[in-house]
Amino acid sequence: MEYRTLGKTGIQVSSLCFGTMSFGGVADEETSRAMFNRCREKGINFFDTANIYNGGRAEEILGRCLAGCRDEIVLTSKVCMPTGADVNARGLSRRHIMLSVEQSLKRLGTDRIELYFVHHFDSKTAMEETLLALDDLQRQGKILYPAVSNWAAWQIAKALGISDKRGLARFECIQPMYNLVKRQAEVEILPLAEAENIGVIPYSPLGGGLLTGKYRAGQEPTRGRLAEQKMYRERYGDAYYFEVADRFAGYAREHGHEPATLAVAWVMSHPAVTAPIIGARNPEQLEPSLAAAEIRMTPEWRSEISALSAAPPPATDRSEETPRSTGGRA
Amino acid sequence: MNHRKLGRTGLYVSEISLGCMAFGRWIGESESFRVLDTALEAGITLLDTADVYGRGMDLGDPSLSGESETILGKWLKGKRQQVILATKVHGRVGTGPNDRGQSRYHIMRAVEDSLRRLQTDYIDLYQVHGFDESTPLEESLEALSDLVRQGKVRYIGCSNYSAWQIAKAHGISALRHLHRYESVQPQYSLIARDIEKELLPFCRSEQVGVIVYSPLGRGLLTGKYRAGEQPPEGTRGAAGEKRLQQLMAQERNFAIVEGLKPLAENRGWTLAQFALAWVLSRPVVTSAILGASRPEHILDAVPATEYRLTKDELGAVDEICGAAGANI
Repeated sequence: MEYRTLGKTGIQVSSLCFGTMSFGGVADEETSRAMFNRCREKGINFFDTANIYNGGRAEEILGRCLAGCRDEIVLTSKVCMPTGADVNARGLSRRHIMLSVEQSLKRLGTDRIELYFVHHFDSKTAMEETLLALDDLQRQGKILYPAVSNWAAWQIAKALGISDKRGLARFECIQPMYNLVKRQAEVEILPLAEAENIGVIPYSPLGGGLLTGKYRAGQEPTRGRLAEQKMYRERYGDAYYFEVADRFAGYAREHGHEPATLAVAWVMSHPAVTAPIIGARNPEQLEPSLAAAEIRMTPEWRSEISALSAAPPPATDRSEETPRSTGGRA
Repeated sequence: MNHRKLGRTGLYVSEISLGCMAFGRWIGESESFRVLDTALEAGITLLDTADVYGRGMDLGDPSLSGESETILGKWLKGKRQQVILATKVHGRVGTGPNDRGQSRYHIMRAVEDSLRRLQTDYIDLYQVHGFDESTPLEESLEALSDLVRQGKVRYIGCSNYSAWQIAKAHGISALRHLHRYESVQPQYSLIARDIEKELLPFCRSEQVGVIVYSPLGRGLLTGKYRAGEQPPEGTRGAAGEKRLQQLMAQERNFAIVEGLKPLAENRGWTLAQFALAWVLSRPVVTSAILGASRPEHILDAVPATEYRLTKDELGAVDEICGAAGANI
């Protein structure tokens, strides 16, 4: 397993992060533990969870799994999504953040969370309020670093400016959606992360299962998340996605790889990416994703795979007026 | 002509502005003057140019830049108070190592050169033409703020920045009590809607003015170019503009043009008017830059300022763009 430095924190994390969204949901505790142990065997030290995964059960199971090796683990959790019917049981107010972190720590059976993610943008709460609360949590030792998921790049950049101005802990890790069919992160998020030296752990490297090769263009999905969950159907239901997935699966098999392995390796090979988050329902499904750790994808190989889907248009497009020449050459 | 507030500033600008890139590049002085007279007559107040605009862009000789500003400067005599003058700095304007970018050194010299060519002692909106990776934002923002305090510049803006880059610059301006970028100049049209994803939501949230260029897709949305056919004489396409050729190479763009034609015809509008009315129907857009090289271009476009698309038409447009595979 390769280990990489997370942004500017100095922390070394495995180049794969395991996501526990299945724990206590489609995977019972025994299956969850088997996956956890398999990840540890492969050298994974980086585990991602959230307070809302399966009503808190994911955190509870993960907490029990890591009891014997807590100090070797880099642990995350998240806050923002509704945790109950109460009007204040959601969002990024100081009130909800302070309550949520205590609940997460309790479920995880630990006294600190390495990376504490804001799960979404909360338009009702001032950024200053959220950033001050997270900074206090860092000083209290309950979290080591604030981190951010599902925010637009400009929202993150704005927050960095506020942290800088007020001397607060800044976001040290971004968790965006990124895979071969969802490449919007290449336009703003990934360049921002590179420029500001922030860690990046993308979720959905397999596009909700689309890039495993099990779904075919022109055929209605009969199993897996695309068949079972409306959210994934809306996210990946377009015919275009299935066409790319078909092309990609064909390419992977021609080159002797499981599509899932190559899809994870492709995400991992972006220079701004620290570690893709892999997830699974059971140990068997986990293996192809784990195998990505053995692949060293060269930039040329990466470009070949990138060509199988449409790159998003660049943020700015005025090359003839603003030549990108740098330094002194004419 | 309607006028809209530029972002959070108190400045009102015409919702169609005149792009001056053709002056000295594709058309000469007298033709440029006719275009400018027509624009002023039509109520356009915002004139947008750049220090690099001129023949040098095509000839590859940076020392041949500045003709657009020079022509504009001659025309401006006696009319300076009637217009809002916007220009830019960043592109290469000479062969020396410091003849480009956003160092304090280059900005200070470039603004003096622009003021001299424009024959004025102030610029209303001074824009950085792109992101300069080799200069710290602090240095550029300090220099630009000094220009505001010196009275040489009224407002500062940027062009071709990513949303996060402007957000970062705003953070630095707030931290150091400097002037901030009050506007951004991106490309936006029915065939280039990418800014809807990141930049427009940012500008809405932070009240940044949005002055869009190429609202007619470099002429493609006038309907005068056809897939697989030679561009008509006297057009930008015939002049061989590279970016237009790239747009014409994409089949998708022609599919959008064909799809939109019936919608425009329904209204009895030209396609260009329809495309412009669509851009102006967007609440976050401040002004659309019309890059005119003939007076007719302006006369044709101006009625669009009174046209607004209905909700149904906006929906139909989205469907056409989406079906053609546009990134929306």
